[in-house]
Amino acid sequence: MKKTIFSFLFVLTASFLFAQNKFTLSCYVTDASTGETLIGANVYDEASQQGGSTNLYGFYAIVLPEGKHRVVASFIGYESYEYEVELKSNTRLDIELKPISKTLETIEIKADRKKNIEGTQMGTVNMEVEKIKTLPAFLGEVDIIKTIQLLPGVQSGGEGNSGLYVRGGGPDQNLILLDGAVVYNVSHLFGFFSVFNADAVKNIELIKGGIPANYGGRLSSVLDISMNDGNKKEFSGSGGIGLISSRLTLEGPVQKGKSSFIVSGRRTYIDVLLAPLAANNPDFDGTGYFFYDLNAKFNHTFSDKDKVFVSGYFGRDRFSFRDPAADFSINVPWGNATTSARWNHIFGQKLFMNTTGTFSDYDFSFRGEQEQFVFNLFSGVRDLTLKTDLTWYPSPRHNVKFGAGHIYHTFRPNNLEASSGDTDFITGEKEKIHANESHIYILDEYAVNDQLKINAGLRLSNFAHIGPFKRFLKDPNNENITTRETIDIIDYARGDQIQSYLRLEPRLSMRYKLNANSSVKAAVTRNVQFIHLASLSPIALPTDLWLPSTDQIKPQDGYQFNAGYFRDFADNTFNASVEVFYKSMDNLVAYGDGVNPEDIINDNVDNFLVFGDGYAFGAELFINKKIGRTSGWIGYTWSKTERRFEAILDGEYFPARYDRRHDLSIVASHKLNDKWTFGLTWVYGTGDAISLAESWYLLPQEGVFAFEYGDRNSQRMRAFHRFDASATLYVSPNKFKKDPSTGEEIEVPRKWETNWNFSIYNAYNRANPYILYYDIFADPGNEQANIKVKQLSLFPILPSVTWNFKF
Amino acid sequence: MKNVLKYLFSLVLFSALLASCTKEVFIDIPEGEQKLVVEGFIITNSPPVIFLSKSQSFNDPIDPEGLANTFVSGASVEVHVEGDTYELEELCVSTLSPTELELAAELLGLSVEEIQAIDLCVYTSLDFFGEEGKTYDLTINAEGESISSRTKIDYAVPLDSLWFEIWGDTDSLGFIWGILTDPDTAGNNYRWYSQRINAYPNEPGVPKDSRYIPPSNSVSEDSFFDGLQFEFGYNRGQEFNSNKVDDNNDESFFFKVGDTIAVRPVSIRFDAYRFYRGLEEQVTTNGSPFSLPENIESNIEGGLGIWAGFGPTYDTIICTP
Repeated sequence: MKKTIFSFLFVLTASFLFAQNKFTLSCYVTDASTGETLIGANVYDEASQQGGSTNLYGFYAIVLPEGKHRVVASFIGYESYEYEVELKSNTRLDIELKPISKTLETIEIKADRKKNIEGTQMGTVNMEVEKIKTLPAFLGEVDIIKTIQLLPGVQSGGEGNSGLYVRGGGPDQNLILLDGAVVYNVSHLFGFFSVFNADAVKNIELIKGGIPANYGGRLSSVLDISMNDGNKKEFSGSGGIGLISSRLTLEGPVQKGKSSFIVSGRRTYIDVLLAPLAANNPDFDGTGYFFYDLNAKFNHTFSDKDKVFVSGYFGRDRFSFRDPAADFSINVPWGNATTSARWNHIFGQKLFMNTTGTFSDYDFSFRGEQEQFVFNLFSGVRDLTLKTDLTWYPSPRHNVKFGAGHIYHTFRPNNLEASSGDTDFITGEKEKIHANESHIYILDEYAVNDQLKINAGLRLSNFAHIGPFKRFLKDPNNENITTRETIDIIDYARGDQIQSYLRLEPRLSMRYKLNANSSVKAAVTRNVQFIHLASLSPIALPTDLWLPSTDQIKPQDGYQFNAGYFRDFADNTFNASVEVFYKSMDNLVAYGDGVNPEDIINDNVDNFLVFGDGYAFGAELFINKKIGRTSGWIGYTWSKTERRFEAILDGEYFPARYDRRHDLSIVASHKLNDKWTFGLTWVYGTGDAISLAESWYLLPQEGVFAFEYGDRNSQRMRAFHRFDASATLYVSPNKFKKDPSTGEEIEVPRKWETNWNFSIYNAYNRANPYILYYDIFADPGNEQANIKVKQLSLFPILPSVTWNFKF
Repeated sequence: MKNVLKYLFSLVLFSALLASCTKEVFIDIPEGEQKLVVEGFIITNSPPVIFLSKSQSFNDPIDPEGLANTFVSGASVEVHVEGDTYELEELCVSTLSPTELELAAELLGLSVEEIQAIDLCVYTSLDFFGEEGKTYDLTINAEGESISSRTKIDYAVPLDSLWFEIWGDTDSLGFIWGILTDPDTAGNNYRWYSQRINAYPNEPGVPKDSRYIPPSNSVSEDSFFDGLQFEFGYNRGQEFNSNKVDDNNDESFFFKVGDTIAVRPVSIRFDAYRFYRGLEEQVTTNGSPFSLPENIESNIEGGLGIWAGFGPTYDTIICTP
C-alpha cells in the first residue's frame, strides 16, 4: 500500500513542476449586504475559462500566469462581478457580490459556470434555503430534510418521516454534519419534523454518490449543513409565528466588519396552548409534549489570513405524562447537542487550512415512576473530534485536499435502572463502549485537459475498540442468540485495545465533457462505516441504539459504482442528469428475531445481533430549473434494494422496508409578482415492503387468535402520493407616508419586511398508508367473523398559516 | 424497551391528532403453509390437556363449523414421563354428560358455554397427573405429520404476601399487590393468573370470571430480580374482545372493593416464558409502525404453539378498602 500512496503522490507533484512565473489570486466571496461568506460561488478567469468555486468558508484560490486577467465571480441570486486585475505577485482580492435587485431577477446570471456539467461531482445537490422557504410546508414548518427527500435517490421513511434513505441505504448511513459536527438524530417527534431550523442555515450540500475522500465514516451519503455566520454589517432579526411553533433569529456585528454573531431559536407550543385546558383537568397536570432548537454562532476575523468560528446547536424533545392521583409519571427527553470551533488559516496564498474541534452528543432517556416503582432507561453516543483539512491550489488544473482527524467515541447502548422501594432490580453494569477513530486522506481534482477532469483520492481509516470493557463470551455451540449462555467473562482494562480495523478507501470520480452543454461522469468509491444503528423498529426512532464496531461487529463496508449523463438546456436554464448506480453493503446489523433489549441484562448488546449484507441499484432522472420566475425540479428514481441475514429467512434476500421501485417528485415555485409566490409539490412512491401474517391459529386456552407471518417484507402497502401547495404573500417593503414638508404621499421603506405563508398539506386528501393492522369483524347474525387488514392513515388535508418577519 | 416503544407509539397516535382515519384495504395475501398447532399444559396434580389444531388461511370466514374444523381429530398423542409412556385420549364436548361438561370446563379453564359453542375436542389422560420436578416429553402423529416437544413442571414459588390497594383517587377500584422472594437460582420464570370468583349482583351463583385469566405482561423472568425479595402489582386480566360491561367501562382492568380473587402464579420454563411474552407482544403491537412483526417462538418441533408445565401456588384475597 505504501507503494501505491507513494506513486500517487509522485504523479501529483510531478504534474506541478511546470508551474513557472505564475501567481496566486486568492479570494473570499461574501454577500455585500450582510457580509455572509458565499459557499459555492464561481470564480474564474474569463480568457482561459479556468477556475472553480468557493469552499465551505467562501474561499477560493487560482494560480494564473503573470499579466492582466479579467476575473469573474458569480453566484445564483447575485449580480455577477467582473474585475480586471494585473498579476505581478500573489494577490488577494476579496469580492462582495450584490444580491440581485427585483428588476434584475428575471434576467439571470449570464456567467453561471454550468456546475452541472463541469464538476467531477456526481449525485451532488446544493439547496438554497430561501427557495425551500417558498415550498409548501407541513403545518407551516419549513423542513430542510423533507425537501431533500424530494430529490431523486432520496426517500423518506413513510408519511411525515424525516428519516433519510439514500440510494437504498439505511438511515444510519448518512453523515449529517452541522458546521462540521455530526448530528446523530435529525428528527423531532418521531420524524414528523427535522431538527434543522431553516432560519439558521446558510447552505445545504447533499452528496449521494462519488463521495470524495475528505468525507468518511458513512456508507451512503453526506449531508453537509453550514450555519449562517451572522450579519457582519448591521444588526438584524427575523422570525415567524406558526401554528405549532415560533422562531426568532437575531444577528449582527460585534466588531463591525470583523466579527458577528447569530442566535436562532424555535419552540413548539402545543403544550402551552393546551395548558389552560390541562389546568381545568388537574388529573393530568404536567402532561405534554414540546420540542425546541437553539442555534448560536460567533465568528471573528483576526486578520486577512485568520478567522475563527464557534457554533453550537442544542435541541430537545420532551414528552411527559402525569397522573398525580395515581402517583404515576413518565418523562421522556431526547435530543442532540453539538459544538464546533473552527480556525481558518491561509498559508501563503495557495494553502487554505481549516482546523475543527467538535463535540457531538445524542441521548435518549425514559423515566417512569409509579408509587415505589422507578424505571430509568438511558442510551446515547458522544463524540469528541479534532480534524484538520487543507486545500492547496497549486495550479488552475489542480485542487488538492488533504487532512487528518481523530474521533473519540463513547457509546452508552442501553443503560437501565429499576427499583421497587428499597429493592434495586438487577439491571447489570451500565455498559459504556469507547473507541478511537482516525483518518488521513488526500485527493486531487485534476483537470487533465478541457474535456477530462478527475477527482482521485485515498482515505485511510483506523478504528479501535478500547477498554475498559467487559466481554461476555457466549456458548459457541448454541446458535440461538436469545437462549445461549455466557461461558466466560473477559475484563479489559482502560486503554486496552480489544479490536482494531484498518481500512483503505479509494475514491475516484471523473468527468468527460462532450461539448459545451453536456458531459458524462463516472465514479467508483469504497466507503467504510465503523458505527452501526441497531433498531427494533422498521423506522428510525429515538430509541435506536448506536453501536461501534467491536470484536463481534465488523465495520460496514460498501462499494458504489456510478455513471451519468449531464446536460444543460436552453442556455443553462435547465440542468438535467441521468445517473445509474450500484451499491454493495457488507456487515449490516440487525437484532435477532425475538430479541427484547430487556434480555440484555449482564450481557453485551452485540451478542444479540445478527449480521448480513445488502445491495441497491437504480437509475435517477433529475431535471432542475434553478433560475427564472418559475423554478423547481422533477426527480424520478427507479431502484431496488435488498438485504440478506443468515439468521433471517435462511439467508435468502428480502426487500428492505424502503425498497421503492418508483419514486417521483415534482417541485415547483413560481413568482407571480412582487407580492405573490406560489409553490407546489407532488410526490408518488411505491408502497413500503412489509411483513403480513399469512395464517392464523386459535389458542383456545388463551382465548385469542395468533398470527403466523409470511416472509419478511414480502407484501406491499398501497402506493403513496400527495399534493401540497403553498402561497406566500409578501407585504410590500415600502409604505406611503405624507411628506410633512410638501404634504404629498411619498413611498418610504417599512422597518419590518413581512410575509404570510399559506400551505395546504395533502390537498386532495389522499389516505396514504401509515400502518396496516388486523381487525376481527364479527357478524353475529350469520355466526361468522372475518379477519381483515385495515389501513391507518395519519394526515388528511391540513391547512396552515405562518407569519414571517425580518427587520 | 418494547414498553417504552408502546408509550411512544401512543404518543404518536395522540399527536397525530387526531385527524387520522382508517379504512379496510384489500391485499392479496398468499395462503400460508398449514401447520399443526399445540396448546398443551400440564399442571401439578392435574391431568395433561392438549388442544390440537391447524393453522388457517385468511380467506375463509370464521364460523362455528369452520372453527370446529380447525381442530385435529384422530391423532396419536403420547406423553413420556421418566420411562413410562401414556397414550392420551381424545375427548369431545358433544360426547360428555352435563356433569362431565362442568368438570371438563373447570379442567380446561373455560366456561361451559364456551366449550359448547364449538365442538371442542382435547387430548387428555386420567392415568397420570402433573408432578413438580418431572419432565414430560410429548409426541404427536397426526395427518401424516409428526411433531414433538418437552416440558418440565418447575417448583412453585409461594408468595410472601398479597393485598389489594385502591388506585389513585378512585374510591373502590384498585390492583393486587404482592411480595415475592425469588429463589437464589437463576432461571425462574413466572406467569400470573387471577380470577374473580364472586358473582355479579344480578347473576348470583355465577363467578364474575369463568376461569383464571392472565393480565397483559403476565410473564416475567428472574434476570432482573434473581434471589431478591420485591414488591409487584398486577391489574385484572380480561378476556380478549370481551363484551362484559365492566370490561368496557371505567372498571375495565381494575379489581373492585368486594371482589373475591383467586390468584394463581405459576412457575414456567423459559421457552414458555418466551412463548407467552411473544403472544402478548403480538396482541398489543398489532400493526404498530415501531415494531417488527414477529412470529411467536414455539417449543413444538415441527409445529406451532406451546407445551408447558405449570407449577402453581394458589391464594385468595377479598378486596377491602
